[in-house]
Amino acid sequence: MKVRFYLNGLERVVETDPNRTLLEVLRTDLGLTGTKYGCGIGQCGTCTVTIDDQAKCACLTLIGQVNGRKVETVEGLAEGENLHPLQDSFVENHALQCGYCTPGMLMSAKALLDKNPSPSEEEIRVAISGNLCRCTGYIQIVKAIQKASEKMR
Amino acid sequence: MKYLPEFEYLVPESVSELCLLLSRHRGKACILAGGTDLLIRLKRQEVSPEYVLDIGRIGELSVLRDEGDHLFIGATATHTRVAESPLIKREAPLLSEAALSVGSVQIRNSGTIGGNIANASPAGDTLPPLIALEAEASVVSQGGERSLPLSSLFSGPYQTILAPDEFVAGIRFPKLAAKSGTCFLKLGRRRALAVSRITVAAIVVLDRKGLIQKARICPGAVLPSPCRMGHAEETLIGHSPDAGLFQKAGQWVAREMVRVTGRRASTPYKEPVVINLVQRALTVAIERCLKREG
Repeated sequence: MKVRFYLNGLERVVETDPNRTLLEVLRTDLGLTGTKYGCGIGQCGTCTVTIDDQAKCACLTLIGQVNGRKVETVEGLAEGENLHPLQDSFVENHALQCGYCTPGMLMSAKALLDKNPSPSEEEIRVAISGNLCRCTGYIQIVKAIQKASEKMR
Repeated sequence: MKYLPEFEYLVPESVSELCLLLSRHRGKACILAGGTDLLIRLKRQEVSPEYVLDIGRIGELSVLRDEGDHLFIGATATHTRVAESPLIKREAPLLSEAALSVGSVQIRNSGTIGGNIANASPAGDTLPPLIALEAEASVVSQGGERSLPLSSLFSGPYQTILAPDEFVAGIRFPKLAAKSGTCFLKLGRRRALAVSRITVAAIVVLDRKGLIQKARICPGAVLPSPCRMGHAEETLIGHSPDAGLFQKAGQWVAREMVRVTGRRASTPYKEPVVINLVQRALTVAIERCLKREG
């Protein structure tokens, strides 16, 4: 079947079997491997993308569900050479070690700041509670999101 | 990456088209709403439907409507929408609390209230508050619509009495009395994404003298399907609220849990926790009731 959607601002049309997840199509068909495959059952959050500005797990989204929708992945954050303030802030605040959770963390944070530009620490923690990090821990990540929100205001 | 079994993907645009497809492909179709449960079951090959019917594009199924003395929530309203709706926060605060406690942001953005009902998980977070609210499910098929109490929809863990060509179109429940207070509490292994170990939904209504006029208690995750606790509720009626009384109500709930499920390895842990959780839920509900009056 044919699925047409808006990916990081560009219209894309993919021809695919219907029994595939958005994650699979992003990584395999479109070569966008920034979005990671973790648990595959919506528990770890590393496949988080935004669909119509809402953070969702790409591993639990059938490709047909995004037909006509706006999808943003981590690749859509930077503008050319310029990193998104969230990405800069993750670097400055040492908010990653192995980096596997980072794309999902960034997209959850992006969805949060789009909706709520001045979140409290608690609101940040709730927003990333569906994203697991097994090495850095959460202190630097929360701090990075806080600092980014201050810069972006 | 886990591959999904093959199926045909259909996207009905209206309730009547959905009814037609369900009747035509009777028993061979699965409904896809948010996908947070169905995709996992597909990946685990627990289901292998010939057809997947994506109901996410049927506008009339996602409504959230004030019907005067009732509220109606369409099946595909997401947990995020239920949690954030000012109408539900005002009229049924325990339901928005429960919706907010589901999974994580990502799961709440996809998962739907209709999915929570149709999956019939004993640990479904929105079920105890809905049952406490005396919600009725609107069940639709080509034959028409029927309304049945939510509590009678479940026939066991992950099982409903729905016929293969029927689906849950939404739920409807009466608004609460002015002098009421509600509370939903959840105990999980971790705060986010935890499958509920024990939940409690409580609603209390006080009369003019400050005595308990109505009480509804529905625990979740401790019984094969959530249902109200008649004995515990009766214990409270006509009395003035106090901690000892709430403890007694909690003991009734614990007794009912043991009666239905038998003594299990987890019972020595669950018994005192259920009692405390019921007591706490009632305490908070009463506090809110008094606040609402003042």
